[in-house]
Amino acid sequence: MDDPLIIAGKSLKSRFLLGTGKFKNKSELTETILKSGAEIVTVALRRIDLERHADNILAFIPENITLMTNTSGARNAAEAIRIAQIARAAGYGNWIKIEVINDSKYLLPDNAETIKAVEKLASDGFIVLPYMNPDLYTARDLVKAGAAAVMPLGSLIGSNQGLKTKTMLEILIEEIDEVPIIVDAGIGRPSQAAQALEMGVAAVLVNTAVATADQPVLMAQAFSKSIEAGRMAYLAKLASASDLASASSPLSGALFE
Amino acid sequence: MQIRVNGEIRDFPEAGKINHLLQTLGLTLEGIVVTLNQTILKKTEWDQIIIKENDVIELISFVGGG
Repeated sequence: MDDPLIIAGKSLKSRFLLGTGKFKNKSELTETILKSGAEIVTVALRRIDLERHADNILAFIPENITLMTNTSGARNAAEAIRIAQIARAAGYGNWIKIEVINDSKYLLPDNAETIKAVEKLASDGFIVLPYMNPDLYTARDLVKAGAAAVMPLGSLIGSNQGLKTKTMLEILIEEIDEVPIIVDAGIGRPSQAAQALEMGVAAVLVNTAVATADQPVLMAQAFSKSIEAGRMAYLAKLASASDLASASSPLSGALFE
Repeated sequence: MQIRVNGEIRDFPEAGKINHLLQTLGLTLEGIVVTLNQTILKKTEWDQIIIKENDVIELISFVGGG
């Protein structure tokens, strides 16, 4: 089935974006990425711990995978812009996930600061995918600011609670045609990813649900299949639901009439 | 002389360059970004720029993240 996802002109076969945080075993990360089919993975930037050098995460990411640097740790637009500039200076492309958070309890994105960061970075030539609280006006502003996609949360980061924002996501799906909608955060199960794709979102970004599963490689495969299934169901157009029964077998010609 | 690296004061010999600092700290040079007094340095500058007293250096790398 030829049904590419196009983000900023880049054609992708997979609608599964994978985060690389929280993996207990880094060597498992490589196989997880390969088995997931993901073509875009997210990474973050941190100060190097000079006492205890951690493994270089890039060494575990297969070739031909697009790295997208998350601006996590940014509390406002200026910090997100700075992180993006550092990522580009490192020589790993210009794909940026804007994540601006200044609330440590719920880790909710600051939509207003996110719009400011997108405006600046998009005009500087970055490909910018903002993580956002699903709000229609914000989504429109992000599109206007030059976002390559919008990434509304399904539920709180790392909560595995699924699509708690379903109604708001449906509004975005209905109203935002210009860029892909990618559900980012909160998807805890393959069935929830399938649900998101069935509804019509273009892709999902999953991290915690895969990385903290007992078997991340197997879970990545499960997500990959569910995402594909959800997309196919969306394209097939779902049959309508009804409150009453509707017999699947013919009602006439029964053997005991 | 003293410099500040990732928030901590360190002793560093006079006339040392950025790549000398990275070697001293035992860092591989791949996937690292260096900022010197807030300026993001190009890799080609690492063996050119001489670190001065009280310089503030940040050494940054990629980690797993969502």
